[in-house]
Order: sequence, then structure tokens, then C-alpha cells
Amino acid sequence: MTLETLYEVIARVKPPEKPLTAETRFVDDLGLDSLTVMELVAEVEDTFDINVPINLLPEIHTVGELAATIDRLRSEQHE
Amino acid sequence: MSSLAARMGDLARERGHLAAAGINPFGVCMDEVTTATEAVIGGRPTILVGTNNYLGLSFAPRAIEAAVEATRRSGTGTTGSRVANGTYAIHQRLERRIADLYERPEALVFSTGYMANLAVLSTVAKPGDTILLDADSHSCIYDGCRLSGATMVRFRHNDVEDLEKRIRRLPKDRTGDLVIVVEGIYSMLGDRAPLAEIVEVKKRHGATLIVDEAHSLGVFGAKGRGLSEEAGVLDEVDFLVATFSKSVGTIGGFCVSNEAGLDLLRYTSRPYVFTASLPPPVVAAAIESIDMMEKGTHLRARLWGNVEHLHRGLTGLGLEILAAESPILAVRMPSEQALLACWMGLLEQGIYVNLALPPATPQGVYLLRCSVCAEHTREQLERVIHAFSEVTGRG
Ligand SMILES: Cc1ncc(COP(=O)(O)O)c(C=O)c1O
Repeated sequence: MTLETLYEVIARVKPPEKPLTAETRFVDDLGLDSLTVMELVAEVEDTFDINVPINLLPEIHTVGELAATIDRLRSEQHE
Repeated sequence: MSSLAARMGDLARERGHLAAAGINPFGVCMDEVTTATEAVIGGRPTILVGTNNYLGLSFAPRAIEAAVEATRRSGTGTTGSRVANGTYAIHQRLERRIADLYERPEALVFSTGYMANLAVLSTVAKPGDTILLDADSHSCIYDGCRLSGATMVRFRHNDVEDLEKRIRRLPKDRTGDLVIVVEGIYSMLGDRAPLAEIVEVKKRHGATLIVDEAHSLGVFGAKGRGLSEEAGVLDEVDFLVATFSKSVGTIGGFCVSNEAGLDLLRYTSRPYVFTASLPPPVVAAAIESIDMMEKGTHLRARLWGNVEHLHRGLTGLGLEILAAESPILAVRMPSEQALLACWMGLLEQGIYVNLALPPATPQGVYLLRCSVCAEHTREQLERVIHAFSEVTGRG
């Protein structure tokens, strides 16, 4: 569920050349630069109604990792 | 295995871009700087409109005399940290002067504004706390937040509602403190923080408020104490940070606070302890310039008169300026190509402005960033407006 929504958010920010999977990497596959990353994060925050602390970003490399982080933050911030 | 260029990814790409266009806007060399508003660049006499020297104090005779005198008396450098051999009577005199200006028990002086932000942020916030920072904050604020180990949450630039929303989203079982960080004037866009509203949020949520007045010091308030003074919220700002590298016309940074125990930073803060203190001539110049700044109602009147003049001239050409009533006039260009061509064109006409493009600006925002000085003459500003009309093909 999260993953499907996340695919849509990513496609809005930067339309991917190949279909997205949980393994898609933000920098190596999608070629996101630092500004686009921040834009994506802002979109994710609004879509899922969460804060994504920017300290977490260095550890997130793939779409699947971001989805897992979103789920964790949602449960923390909306219990 | 990864070359430095590869690790610098974005930057290397961006620079390759500019180099291909035969431009190195970040490698301009001033052959000579002759006044607060004039230089020689590439052999050409040039009007400076991109210096952050808002009051023009870098050439104030009083400051120069004091700096020369201090050099003769105490030498060119302290060769040591504030906590070792680098605290002279004159450093303490400067701190007393700033503390008195802000009517605070104490002020701390740092070697740069960058260091001041690193020191204050990394000490005020700790792991487990949450820092809410404006998304457009200067890099040294980001670095200071990182150094603190606190959780960093960005809110949309100057958007108080978004700030509130982010506080609401914080985990209910959160135990740490809340810290809000904003600037007075934002360095690239030139717009002001909605300080009075941010103070309301801070009070409602019991947060600590840090304001970096880097670009607003000297510019706002009856005594030039910054946007906090102008907005009437000085007492609500828990830590006010600023730099001497803009309106004060030299280099260094400071912090004043309402909190008891600011003094502790002198022992615990690495950016205070592990770097050499400011050289005597810099400290002497800062003391004089802060005095001129405090009494500088006439300088501020000239500055704002110049801002109005340049703003009217440039908008009269049909140019878009991002923020009104700011000594930073950020002129928006439609594309990177237009930006680079105009910037080069201005330089060829003997006008230096700053070039600002992503990632220093938001995506898609290309700016010819002008900073106005109290010492600009009307004749200089007319030449600037004329050059803009030539290079943009307007007017
Ligand atoms: C908002 C802000 N804070 C801090 C600084 C750093 O000041 P300094 O030049 O004294 O290191 C700057 C200057 O670039 C700035 O724009």
C-alpha cells in the first residue's frame, strides 16, 4: 500500500525511465540530485502526513527503504 | 577509489556547466578594492553591488584607524584559542560592548558567524531534542544542527502554518526539547522571517528560539540590532546569533542570550575552543563599527533610500524582484542561460552582482543578487539600473 502510493509520489517529482520497484535506488537509478531529494521528501511528508527528519536521509538508498521508514514514522507519529 | 570530483557530484556537474560557457562566477578576483562600493576587476573599474556591506563600514576611517593602532600595539594575530593565550583585554571589551548593546549579562564572540552557529546550535540542542529549521536556512545552520545530534525537521520557508503542522506531527511520547531556528533576512531571496508569528508558536509550544541575524544586523531596528528589534521581540529570542562579516564590515560572529549559563559554551563548545581567536585589528575595528552601527540612524536612512531607488529603477524595467523592503534585491532571471549571460554582461559593464542558482536557491530560481550599501551614490545606482536595462534588453 505504502509502496504503491510512494511510486505515485516519485513519478510526480521525477518521472522514472523504468518501472519502479522496491529495489530502485534514488541516486544511482533515478539520478536524483540534492534539491530533488528535498522536494521528494516534502511531497512524501504531505502525502503521508508525517515528518521525515533529515537525519534519516543518509541511510535511505532505495524506494523500499523509504517505504519502510514511512511506515515506521507513521506508527510513531499517529498512534 | 572515488575521486574527489566524483564525491562532489552535483557541484562538479554544475561547475562543468559554467566552465563550458566560459564563466567562473565563483572565481572572480578583485584586483583591488578601493572603497566600500568600488573595485577593479580584470583591469576594469567596477561598482560593487554584491558585497553584504550594507552600511559600508569596511572603509570607515574610525575602524581603519583603530585596526592600525591595535596592530601596532598588539600584533597581527593572537596565535591561540580563546581558552589558551587568545583572550586579550580587547576581546573582553568587544563582548562587553555587544552585551550592553543587547542589554544582556553576557555576549560571546566567535572567529566567524559560521563558528557561532556551529557552537550555539550544537550546544543548545542535544540528541533526543527536535530542531525545527526553516528549509532555506544557511548551510552553517544545517551543519550546526547536524553537529548537535538532535532530530532535524525542516519546515517550508517562512511558512508558520507548516511549522505548526510539523510540531503537531511529532511523536506523542517525545521527551526532548523543541528548538526553532530561523534567520532575520534570508541571504539569497532577501525576504524576512515572520518573527512575531514565530514567537507566538515558540511560546505556545514552549520551544527555544534561535535567530540568526547575519543579514539583518545593522539594517533593522533603531539601534541596528536586527529584525528582532524591529519586530519588537528581542526579549523573546532565546539565542540571537550574528556575524561581523556583513554590516559590521570585518569578520567574526557573536551570540547573546537570555539564558543563564551562556558562559558554559566557553568550555564545552568545540567551535569556540578549537580555533584561534580574532586578531586584535579585527576586534578593534568591530568595536568601532558596532558603535557606528548603533548610532547609525543616518546610515540606515541612506541605505533604505538607496534600496527604494534601486528597487524602483529595476522594477521600472519590468524586472521581478523577489522581496520588497530588503537590502538584498534578488532579481529573478527566467533561465540559467539568461542568468549567466546577464551576469557576464553586467560584469563587462563594470557592475558586480552575486550570481545565485540552485542548489543555493530553490529549484528553478535563478537570481542576480544585488546587495545595497549605504555608501552607494545615486549616480552609481543610476549606472547599475542603466546596465541592467542594457543586458536584459529592457527599458
Ligand atoms: C545566514 C547566515 N549565517 C551565517 C553566515 C556566516 O557568516 P560568516 O561569514 O561570519 O561565517 C552567513 C554568511 O554567509 C549567513 O548568510
